[in-house]
Amino acid sequence: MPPRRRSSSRAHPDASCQPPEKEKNRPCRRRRGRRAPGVGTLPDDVLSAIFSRVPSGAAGVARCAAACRRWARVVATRAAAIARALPQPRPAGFLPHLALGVLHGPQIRGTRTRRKPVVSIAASGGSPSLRLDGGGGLFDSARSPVASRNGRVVLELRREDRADGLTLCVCNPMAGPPDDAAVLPALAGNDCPGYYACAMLTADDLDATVTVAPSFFRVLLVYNRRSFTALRCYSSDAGSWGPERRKPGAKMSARTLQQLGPAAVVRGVAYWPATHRAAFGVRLDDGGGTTLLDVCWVPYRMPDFLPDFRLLGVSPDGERLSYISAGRTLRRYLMITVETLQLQGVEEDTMMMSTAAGRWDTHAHISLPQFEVPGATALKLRWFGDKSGTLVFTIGEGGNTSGAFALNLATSSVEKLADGVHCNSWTNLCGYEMDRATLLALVAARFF
Amino acid sequence: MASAGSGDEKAAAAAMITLISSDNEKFEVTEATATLSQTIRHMIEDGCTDGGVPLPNVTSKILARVIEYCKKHATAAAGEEGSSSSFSDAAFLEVDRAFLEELEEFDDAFLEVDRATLFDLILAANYLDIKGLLNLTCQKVADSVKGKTPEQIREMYNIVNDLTPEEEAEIRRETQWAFE
Repeated sequence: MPPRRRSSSRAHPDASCQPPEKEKNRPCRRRRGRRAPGVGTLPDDVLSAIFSRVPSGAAGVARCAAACRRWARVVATRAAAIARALPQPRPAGFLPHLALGVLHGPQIRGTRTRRKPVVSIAASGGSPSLRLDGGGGLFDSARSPVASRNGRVVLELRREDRADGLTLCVCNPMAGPPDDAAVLPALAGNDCPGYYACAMLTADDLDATVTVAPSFFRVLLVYNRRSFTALRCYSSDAGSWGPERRKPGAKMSARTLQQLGPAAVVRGVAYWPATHRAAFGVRLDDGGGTTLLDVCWVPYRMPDFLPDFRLLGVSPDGERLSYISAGRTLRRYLMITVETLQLQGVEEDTMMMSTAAGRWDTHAHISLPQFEVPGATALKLRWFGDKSGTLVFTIGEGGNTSGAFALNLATSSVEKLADGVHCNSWTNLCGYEMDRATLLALVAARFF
Repeated sequence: MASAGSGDEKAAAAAMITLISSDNEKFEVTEATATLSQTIRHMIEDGCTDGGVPLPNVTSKILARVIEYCKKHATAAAGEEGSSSSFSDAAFLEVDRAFLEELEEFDDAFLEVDRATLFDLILAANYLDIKGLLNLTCQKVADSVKGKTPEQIREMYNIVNDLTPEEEAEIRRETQWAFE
């Protein structure tokens, strides 16, 4: 008996005899303390510099954070800087383990739904505690999500009065305190846009050599004026909306504008599947407010898909624009096709990339015999997460199943996010992908 | 030192700086070698290096290694600056490649030290603000945790596990993705 007791008390010496509070600021020390220096002597800055260089990226840093309290604290408090310095995982492909969620506005039709807050659903992704709560009731004051990218969501806030104009808010729904949310200056009066499409660019989209605050972002709005289509950009470094720019060329039809949907951001340019013939791109990563917003059209070679049956995305390497389309096989099964276009070299020609149409390559056909698509109104491709390679779509009435689904393009696996035909009438659906900085901060923050 | 400096200030390359370790050993190095350290560079710019630079955080054993590193890399920096005029491009590229390989070999050999020395080198590089050395030594530690579990990391660096078993179980669950 005595030997057994001794060995069990040795198994967790610290857990049993030292309260965690006392350990909080104590450095990890050598077990048998000779005077030789251990990792405990390294200051936080140096530990952070070491974590920023872990070759296995975020996963390696997460394992370091699990070593002891102090390491966890350093990872959690410097997550943004570490995540930005880590080797970019992009060439390795999509990161299917990223935590995912879906946000959407109220269902269309029905006046009662107007006061309903934004609804969020957490999907899987290896982090069981994922809870999208909008940082303390922020979702309750939001009318609907309008864009989502790299772990941040743009929400349109509810207005009490028409004269309040449009107020947007950029927040990280996973990273707690609502004061982290940036509420953009309202666009009221003559500045208030009508129906608009929205795209966002974050620090992760910029070249790693460009130094910006980790909280950097730009928000672009596309909307119609009486005689032209307007573009307007908010930049977090300027802290204000830039001037309204007139889109060169003809005004977009109201119908086209309403069908723009979510944008794909590739190499600093936001692309929308604007018409049946070409994607509409706006450059976001240059001077922003100061220079003219560059605009381009990228023609497709694909046949005409209904707006709900097509979506733009990004290839795993982050270099190519993807055209994701939903088709029906002869047996009425769902088939997702991904075609990609290398944009490098093409994008210098800013106005019309006349030869691009011929350069699209078919990248993948993913057949999903478990889904029957009865008619054109029963399916909507909603959102594409370009870090995890997840396509979110909803299916309504008439098929063998209905609800909201997440398809992983890398593995072809499908997860059901919500059940019911009503999912197909959700408005403003935005997916959510946790960025690496939030991932690290959350993993580590729980342990000190 | 003070008397020698007064006559020939302009021969900056030949100017010598005295570094004094925590155990009072003196090291004479050229200014080019010493200024790889941003900390010492600032001291030189402020003109407060007369009579030697005391480095109370660095032992003579570690300081000798740091100076060894700086000497090697200072020659590298000097070679880069002087090269464009003295070599034709092709010849220079040839020499440059050979030299870079040599430098890489030097760095590899330099890192062949025990853990305690490695940490001392990191601390010295951090204190003296020597970017290249800090980068080199931190990368060595970062490489060592690659593919290791938290237990292996603790074992390797003698870290006491101060997480409660509940917390540890929770972190297991949270970081499942990191172990796949």
